[in-house]
Amino acid sequence: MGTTNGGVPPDATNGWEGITVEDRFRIRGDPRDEPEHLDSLGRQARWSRNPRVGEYRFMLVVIPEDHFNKTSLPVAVSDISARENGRFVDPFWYWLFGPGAKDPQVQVLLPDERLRVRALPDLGAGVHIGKGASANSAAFSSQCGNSAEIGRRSAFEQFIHYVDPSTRFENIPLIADVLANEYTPADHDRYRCLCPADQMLRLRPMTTATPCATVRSDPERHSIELRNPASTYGSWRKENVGIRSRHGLAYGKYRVKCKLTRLLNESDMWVGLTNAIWLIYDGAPGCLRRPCEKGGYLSSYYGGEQDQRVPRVAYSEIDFEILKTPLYCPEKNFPPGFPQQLPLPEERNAWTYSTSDARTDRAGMITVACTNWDMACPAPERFGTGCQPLEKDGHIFVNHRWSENYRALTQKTEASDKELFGGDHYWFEIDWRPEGITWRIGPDLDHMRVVGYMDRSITEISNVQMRLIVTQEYHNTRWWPGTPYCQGLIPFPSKDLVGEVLEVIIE
Amino acid sequence: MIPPRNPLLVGLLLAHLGVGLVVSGCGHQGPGEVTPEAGTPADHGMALPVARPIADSATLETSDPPPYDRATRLHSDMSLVIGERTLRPNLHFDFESSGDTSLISREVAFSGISSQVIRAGKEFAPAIRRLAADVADTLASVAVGLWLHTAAERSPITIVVSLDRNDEQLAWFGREIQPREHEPNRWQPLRAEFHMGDLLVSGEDLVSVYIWNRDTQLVYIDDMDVVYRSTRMPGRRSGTAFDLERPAQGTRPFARVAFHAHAGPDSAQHPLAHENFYGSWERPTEGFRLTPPTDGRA
Repeated sequence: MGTTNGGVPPDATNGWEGITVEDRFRIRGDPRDEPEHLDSLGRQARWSRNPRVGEYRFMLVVIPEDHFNKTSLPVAVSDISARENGRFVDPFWYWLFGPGAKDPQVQVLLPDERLRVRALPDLGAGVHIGKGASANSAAFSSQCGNSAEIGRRSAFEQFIHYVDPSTRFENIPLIADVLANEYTPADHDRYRCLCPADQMLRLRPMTTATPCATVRSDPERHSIELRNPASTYGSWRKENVGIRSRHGLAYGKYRVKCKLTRLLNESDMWVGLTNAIWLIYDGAPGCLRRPCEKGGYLSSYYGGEQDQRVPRVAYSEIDFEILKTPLYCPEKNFPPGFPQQLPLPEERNAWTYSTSDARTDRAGMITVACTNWDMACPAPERFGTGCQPLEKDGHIFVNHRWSENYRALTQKTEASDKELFGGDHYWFEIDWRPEGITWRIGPDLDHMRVVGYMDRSITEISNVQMRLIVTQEYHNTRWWPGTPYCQGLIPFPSKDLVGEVLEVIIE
Repeated sequence: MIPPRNPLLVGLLLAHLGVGLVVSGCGHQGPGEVTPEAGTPADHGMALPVARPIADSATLETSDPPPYDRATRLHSDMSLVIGERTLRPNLHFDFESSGDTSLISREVAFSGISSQVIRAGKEFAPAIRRLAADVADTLASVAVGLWLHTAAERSPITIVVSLDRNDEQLAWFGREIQPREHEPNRWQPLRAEFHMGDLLVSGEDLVSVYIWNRDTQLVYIDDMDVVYRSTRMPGRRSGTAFDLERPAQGTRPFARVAFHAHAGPDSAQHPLAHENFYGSWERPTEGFRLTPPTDGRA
């Protein structure tokens, strides 16, 4: 594929001992020059269909010259951008199993050597600030900004969340260092019960007003630091922070080494953040999901239940979301039956909520939620609602979907907060393939364990290229029913909540 | 992630929490199930919402029919008086005692030494009935949780909540264990929360909670909770939160807030800096020190 240079060197033959064939090639984006991958100016947007990572095989097809001249090969075999009967022809199929395999004068050589292509985006090469960010350049530096030079070298940009009005919540006017145990579940329950409504602060999670202030690319350590900034009196902030890779890829094994912030303190109180490692579609021209064969996709992300269904959409997302929330499955054990609090100042027993015995989550444990946004395409044979088990290699993975019009399928498992975020680092891996997605976590690449698995029998898997995002973000806990702590009853941070992304491998 | 669920969806999602296999609301029948009328216990006698401790001090006597006549005091005793009403929103039954001992059994127990028994052929357990005004400010949902034990191969139990206004049934909700989750001959939980959604519940509406035994097998129930949730915290001072996105619409400055004295900023930064929002844990009766109103309100 791609351009070919070189050929057979003039002195390569040596009697009957054969010849050495040397060649060079370049893998380029959109190798078929497909018309849908044009940008708004009509130019070929090769970035919209980047070369894929993974393992490449080679095949050498040898045909005697006179036979080659007499044989009329289908155009689609020698030109990958051509179609036959409306479809592209896979040359491996053609020469190994198709008509080419039946030609006795054709020799097909499959060398053992393979090309392993992987992306190692350099976290130390800077952070670019894109157009969606605030224009405030006060925190720009040689490692972070919107200059052309940083744009050329940086593999990541600061991710600016879109904050929907539905994320609005009311927060107690309290600043505390939760991770230093300044706030406990009993405090949460007390505020939940007794704090007057007119003392609350109404807000949405925020994004940075000063790009580059909360992300820092370290060229020495080749890492990027993330900071959810502390609040100060009068400047009450629950501010999201994150980075996004600048190049989309379709499929691959996304491996992220990071030390994100702890989520729980010693009393099991949640700091309110969701640590997330996720992939999202990049909106490139021509990038639409394969057709939903039955029923169609819901057309938009925010369209609600009445959204129309369409054959193809671009929206794609695959997530790790890690937070304090209970498991939804088995259904018979959900939701937890928290008591109705009563604001009786003298009766602590009337305040209990998260401190009640209704909890179904375990102390010290956080939930690793693995989600595929399939836009509710009902085509998979096992598409369904509620809790549905899926067996893989003797392990049962339980999937959950709220309703037939719910756009995502989620699996949840518990993991230790100390193990994932209390050490030097931890690895998170999304292995995205055409037929299935596997989520793995582990202390090192030799000790990864599977925490999620879905395949096309139960969810439609995107073929649209996506970009990698790592975030520490505040969610409205209404998104996560049964959560023992309400986002609005968790104090504003008195200190920055710091995470660090240490290495990214896409292969 | 980035906000995936718009308000409509959140509403649906929360409503779904109460939707098991056999949920129907506002008179709509659940899929493939019998009519709400068929799933209704014969006893329509209304229990008064009285509750008083009895001699053993661990239980609270209720006016509910046995075996719900004695609730666990620790979890059921809290009540709030609002005007002439007394709200008692939480009930817990451990079935360690009852005025009718034929309805409890010592054969098996999830905790303690006895459990409620629903004998073979008994289609309905007695109902726990309350006026909505006696359990909630404005009723938002009813949560029911229990542990059940049965030899039946298919879970025979449906938790039912119905809401009636005079002779009209406004809503009927039910939840059972999915067949693939059912585990015969062992204790297993069954929880449900039924949301009233758009239904405007009046204080005079009657809320009934009962267990429907759809099979003829013996069933044991233990550690049953009923929680009546209000749309807002009953009795808590209401008001409008200060909107950080529209500060011009607010008239009240914030109190200085600090968890500990040392956690605050320079005390000179704010005119109300001497106020500490957070009361002392050691003196919980102090409650919260609230911001002195500066907008002319008392």
